[in-house]
Amino acid sequence: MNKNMVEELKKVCGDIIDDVEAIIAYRKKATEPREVLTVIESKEEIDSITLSPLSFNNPAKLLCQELNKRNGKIAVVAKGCDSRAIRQLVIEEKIDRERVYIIGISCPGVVDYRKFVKKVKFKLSEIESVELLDGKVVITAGSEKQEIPFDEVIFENCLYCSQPTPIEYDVLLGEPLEGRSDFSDIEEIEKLPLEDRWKFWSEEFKKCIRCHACRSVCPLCYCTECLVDPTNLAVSPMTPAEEKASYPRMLGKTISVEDNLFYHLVRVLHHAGRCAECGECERACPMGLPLRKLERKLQKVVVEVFGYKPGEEIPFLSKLDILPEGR
Amino acid sequence: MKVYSGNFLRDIVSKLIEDGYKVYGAVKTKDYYVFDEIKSGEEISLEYCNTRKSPKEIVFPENEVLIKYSKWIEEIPIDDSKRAIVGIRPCDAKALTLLDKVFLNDDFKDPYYEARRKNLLLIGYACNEPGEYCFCESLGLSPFGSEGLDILVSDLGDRQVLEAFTEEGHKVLEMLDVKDASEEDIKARDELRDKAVKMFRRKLEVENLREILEKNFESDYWEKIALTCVSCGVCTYLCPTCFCFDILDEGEEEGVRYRAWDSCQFPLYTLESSSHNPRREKWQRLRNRFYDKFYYMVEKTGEIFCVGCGRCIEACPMGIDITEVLNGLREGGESK
Amino acid sequence: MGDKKFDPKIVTFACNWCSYAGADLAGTSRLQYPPNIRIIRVMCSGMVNPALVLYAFKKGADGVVIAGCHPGDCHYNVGNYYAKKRVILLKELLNFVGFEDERLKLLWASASEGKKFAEEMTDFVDKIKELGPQEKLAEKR
Repeated sequence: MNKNMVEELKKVCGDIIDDVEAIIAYRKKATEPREVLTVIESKEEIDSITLSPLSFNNPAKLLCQELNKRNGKIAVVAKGCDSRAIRQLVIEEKIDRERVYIIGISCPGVVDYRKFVKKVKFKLSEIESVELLDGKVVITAGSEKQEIPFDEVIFENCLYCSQPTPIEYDVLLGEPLEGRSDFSDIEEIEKLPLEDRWKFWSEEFKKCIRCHACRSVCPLCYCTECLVDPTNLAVSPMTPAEEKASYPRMLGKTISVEDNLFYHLVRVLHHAGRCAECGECERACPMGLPLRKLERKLQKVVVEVFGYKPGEEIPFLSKLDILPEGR
Repeated sequence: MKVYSGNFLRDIVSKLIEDGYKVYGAVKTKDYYVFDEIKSGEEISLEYCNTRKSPKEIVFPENEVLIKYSKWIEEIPIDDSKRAIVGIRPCDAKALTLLDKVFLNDDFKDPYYEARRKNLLLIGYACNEPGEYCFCESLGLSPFGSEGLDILVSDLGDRQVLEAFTEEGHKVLEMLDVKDASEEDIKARDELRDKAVKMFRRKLEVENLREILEKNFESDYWEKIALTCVSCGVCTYLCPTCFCFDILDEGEEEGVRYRAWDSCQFPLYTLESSSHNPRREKWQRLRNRFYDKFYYMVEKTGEIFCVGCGRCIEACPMGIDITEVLNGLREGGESK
Repeated sequence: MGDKKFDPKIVTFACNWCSYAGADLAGTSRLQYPPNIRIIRVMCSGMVNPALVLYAFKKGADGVVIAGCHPGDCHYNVGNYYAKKRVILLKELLNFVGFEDERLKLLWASASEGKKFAEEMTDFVDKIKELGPQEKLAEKR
């Protein structure tokens, strides 16, 4: 992800801006090198588009929102994980594939912003550009440069990415990259004895503050009313009063290890075979919980025990010929 | 002013515990810091810019059980033991004085908050260098500010300059071997302060902010900036001045009634039983956050309910920045 | 690790067409099995949400059984396959976080298998008695 790719991207956007109603891309935040999502509607705004190892947000949720607001076609810049999310949403009929133009980016991985801020020596507002060249993150601030090896700041989730090149795209930028199917960190935890595993997980989930950020940022958590999240209710003017008064709530707002585990386990179970593995949940969590490990354990079961390849046309739960024998 | 050669914040912990205080200090967890109860000075970390969660949870915990009910109602005794927070930053201390205006005003004094607050000792830790996301100076505060503190500790490296502002603060100062500060010490501390004040990297323009907000309530600027917001509520959970709470009952024949943090960013916050929701769209909820802090609370109490700690900027998953939004309003908003 | 005074609480979700009728048959045939089982009748084992299982554990159940029709015999064609899939996922996940997944059991019992139902339940209660009370996911008020 370097300056050349940004120029290519701007050219692609310039070519299609007249055929689509909007383009969802990344632009640099004013006071930091971090990149945020933005919706471009006119040719003049194309120059503000950037792409770098700091373009880590997943545009799938924003895409769904814009598709509902607008009537025309929308283009979106999608990395490997983003394209998995979009593909899953297409399968679940939340996105109309005909209305989306995917600009695929073959992604070598993104940077963990908190690790990055600790390692960079300049003031954040001085940084002009961040690029990935030859396995090193090159940061430019005026006439000075700093190089950090990519391994030191890479987002941990990217080490296990199975499809860095988008599986679904209309145009592809960047060379195709090999994915990895590596569950070694999960196997490390599985090797521990039962009580040690419980101790590890209950220590982690003591920290959860039940802010529900993980659920709010996940592109695949789109239920208005979540079974375990007491922050929204799906009621309409037609809902009878008896139903509203006797609403069964499985979970309140008590912060305890049991309740936190209940929330996270139920949330993760609803993602079996559907998770796009983008890491937004772990990135959004203010307390740094290892949410990806839970999801990846489920992914491991789906792939190894059931032999299901994520991204197939038939959703995981509906596929019935994959039940293992003798279980 | 006094001076102490050694590390005051570390050494005072055991003295406070001997005196019967429950002591809270910043403890390193994973790659961030949170305030937690500590039993000795060694557990405290002093290299943090600020903690991930604000210390408001010590006076306003996330869960507070009010009553237990079964065949009869059992009231929970309110805990008003002596507490001390060692190493709180001036911005967070100011935030606690702002929360006092909400929970301890003339109309009503919240008994749970009052019990925890009245016996709370605050030993402040001045910031020699503002953090990446800090902007307290824009709001008239200072990294060496003293509002709300009992003691302020300024770290000069080999020694620390101490200032006590309350009776309790003076008493605690005498627990350790402190000497009167010399002219040199005071000068060195003032130099540190003047240097720190110039190092801010973020600025929030507050001139005429109230009037500008008043004019721009109906502007479509708010829809534009809320495009990427996902209403996750992390900003409100980490904010030292946010105080909204919900009261819930859990358990049918027997259970508890408790108070828990709530957030104006959640869709359920303004959902009425008729199913009408005055803040149904997320841009309305995001707009409410800015207006509550910089307009409504200013009308009610005369103070801006933001202390410039920058936790919301650091933690927002989508990169929405309170300084960018309010500074941008000056050009981007149109009055209708 | 047996506690003589420990009386486990087992929650059973039994499907209306096969396993509930099987439990009924065990009752009318006067077959003894422990009274620790609390049976909840559901229309199909496939409608048991994993959240319901976790909720049972949260409320203090020491063991949970999901009982359904034999594969191929489901009244709704494929409901029991969904149940099997969910139980496998749930067991793996519970085991991963350090919870004893033996506390969750999936049982196929038809309407004529009253004896099998009683035997399986007796075995399960014995097993739970050995494991002891469930404290990890139970809510503590």
